[in-house]
Amino acid sequence: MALLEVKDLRVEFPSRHGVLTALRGVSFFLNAGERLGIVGESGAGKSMAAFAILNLVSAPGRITAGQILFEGRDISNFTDTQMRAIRGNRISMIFQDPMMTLNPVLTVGVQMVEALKAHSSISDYEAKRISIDKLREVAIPSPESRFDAYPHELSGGLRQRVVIAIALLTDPAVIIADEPTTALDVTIQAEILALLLELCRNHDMGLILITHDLAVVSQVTQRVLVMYAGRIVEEGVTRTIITDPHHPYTHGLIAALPQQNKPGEPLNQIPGTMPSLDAVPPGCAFHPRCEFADSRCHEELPELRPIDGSGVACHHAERLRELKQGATE
Amino acid sequence: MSAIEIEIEAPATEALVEVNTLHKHFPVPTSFLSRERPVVHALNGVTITVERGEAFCVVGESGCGKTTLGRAIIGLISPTEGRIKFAGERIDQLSDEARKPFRQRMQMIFQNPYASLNPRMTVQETLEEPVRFHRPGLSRDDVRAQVDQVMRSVGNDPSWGRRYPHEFSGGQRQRISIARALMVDPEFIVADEPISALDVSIQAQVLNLMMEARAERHLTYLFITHDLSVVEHFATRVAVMYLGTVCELAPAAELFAHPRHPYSQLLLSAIPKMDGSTVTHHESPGEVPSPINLPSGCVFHGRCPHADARCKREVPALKQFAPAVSVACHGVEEGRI
Repeated sequence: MALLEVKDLRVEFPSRHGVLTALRGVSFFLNAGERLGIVGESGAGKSMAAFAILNLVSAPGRITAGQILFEGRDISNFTDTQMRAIRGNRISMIFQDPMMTLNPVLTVGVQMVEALKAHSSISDYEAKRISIDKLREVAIPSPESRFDAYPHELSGGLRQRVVIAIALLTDPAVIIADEPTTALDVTIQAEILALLLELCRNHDMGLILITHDLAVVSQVTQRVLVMYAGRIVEEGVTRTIITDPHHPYTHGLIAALPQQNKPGEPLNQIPGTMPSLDAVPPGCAFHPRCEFADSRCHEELPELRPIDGSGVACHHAERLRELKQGATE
Repeated sequence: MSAIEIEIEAPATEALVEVNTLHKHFPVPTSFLSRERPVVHALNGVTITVERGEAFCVVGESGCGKTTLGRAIIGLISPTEGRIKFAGERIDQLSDEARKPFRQRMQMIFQNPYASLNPRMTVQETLEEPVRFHRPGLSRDDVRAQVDQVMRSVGNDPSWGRRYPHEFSGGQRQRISIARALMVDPEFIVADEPISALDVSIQAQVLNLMMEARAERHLTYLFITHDLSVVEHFATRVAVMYLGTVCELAPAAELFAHPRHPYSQLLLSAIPKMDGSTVTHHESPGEVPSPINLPSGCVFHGRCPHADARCKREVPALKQFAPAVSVACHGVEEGRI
């Protein structure tokens, strides 16, 4: 059985213009120790899917349908008190900007000890020992002295390491990382990604990595979900999705990357933009931007169906495959 | 590899922007009682030449001075030391009035299209303003016609003119920013991370637009970015910057095939690859030093695996090694890297 399973999740936000649906029936699972990527552009619902798992959908938004099974129990309707045993304990989070996560007026140590004592009754001495161990584990130089440092005294890379150390404190089964390296420089990004990968392997820890960067996903995760306008449009083994995408959106997204194009030549581009939540077109949400779209795509919402081992939500995935095979022959 | 110092550039091309040993120091705010007057050394003797028609890219990590360089060239900040020439004329010491004709010839595109457009001005007003300022003689109809023409050329519907920036998506706004820069028919555009705030599918659209505009209008770009995959695609030549100095200057294809400076090598190896390989740990010793207390010698020596005593002592000069390739590194010069 999967460690975490999300079934047909819907998240809605009432607004003046009617109900906005941020997630329109999202289902996925995560096995113990597995690394899963969720990619998509801004507004696709990738962060929402992760926040919903931890019951962190901000009001007035709410989960209107679906189940979230964690270790066999449905946690979608847990009370705040019940949720506290899971959130930050069994499932930890890492956010994009470490400065937003860390409290600027408290030392690293105070924040770590506080996090530990919130989940277990241990002595200050023991909490400090565990904290310094974790700081050492995320390769922070001289962890004893960093324990007493304030966040502003650390560089961006070190701050994100501290955030990761805090996430590790309770030995979680899953870490949800929302764009953990987007705010960092590329050399620091490589170090943080390598660290996350190593920690997941060493602790047999699950990882849900949310990012817009396909290259990051391809280097860290085993499986990936591609989201568009609040739905999963393609899912499967990362390597397969990157090298042989079957959904026209995934295909277009990968083809648009500069590294997939000849230097100096125009990049392949997807026309148009992703629809905003109040104007999601009927049928397949991608149809106004899709070259394969026909009348069926205007009316009928495509469900995920298996194609070559991946799950693809497209009525015309076979046509894209034929087209690609034709191009290689 | 032996160092050959070449002083004169090949004369076949025309230098449009020449930057010579540019320094820019920013004072750090301190208490008025404090005796120390620390400064941030944002640029420490940068020398580059951008030739007409080039897409010259400046890459580096945050704090390397790439944005300061762009702003100094365009005249948004005045340099502490050094010279900037545009089309052969010195522009770094000009008064506002004397600079006016140059402002029309050089424009800037900013990173954040949410901050760089005036929220209280319609798109039409935003686009008309620079033309009215630089060419007050132009009739109303001529200005309108120009707005129409530029809007079409960047793929925007001219009927958007009456709308306000908040009505547009990030990609559309960035196209409006590009249109604004193109309104006065510039020769040179400084683009500071113009696609970093945009989604992947929109990045391709904006990048294509910028390449089209370059071909159609014979534009010269100074393209500032941290994204190396964009550089590889877009650039003719690249300057790699670290802590306010240029460490390598090379044609794009050459830099990506043979990065010579250890920092260029570190930077290139850190780009996430799409080939399914897992990420490897690029351990570089130490942290990026602060630009307030610059390290002695080579600014990169603290993180460089090849650093020796000379690197800690002596600042390496940018020297030419191959046609059009210059590197500032003692190790490369001595042939040990």
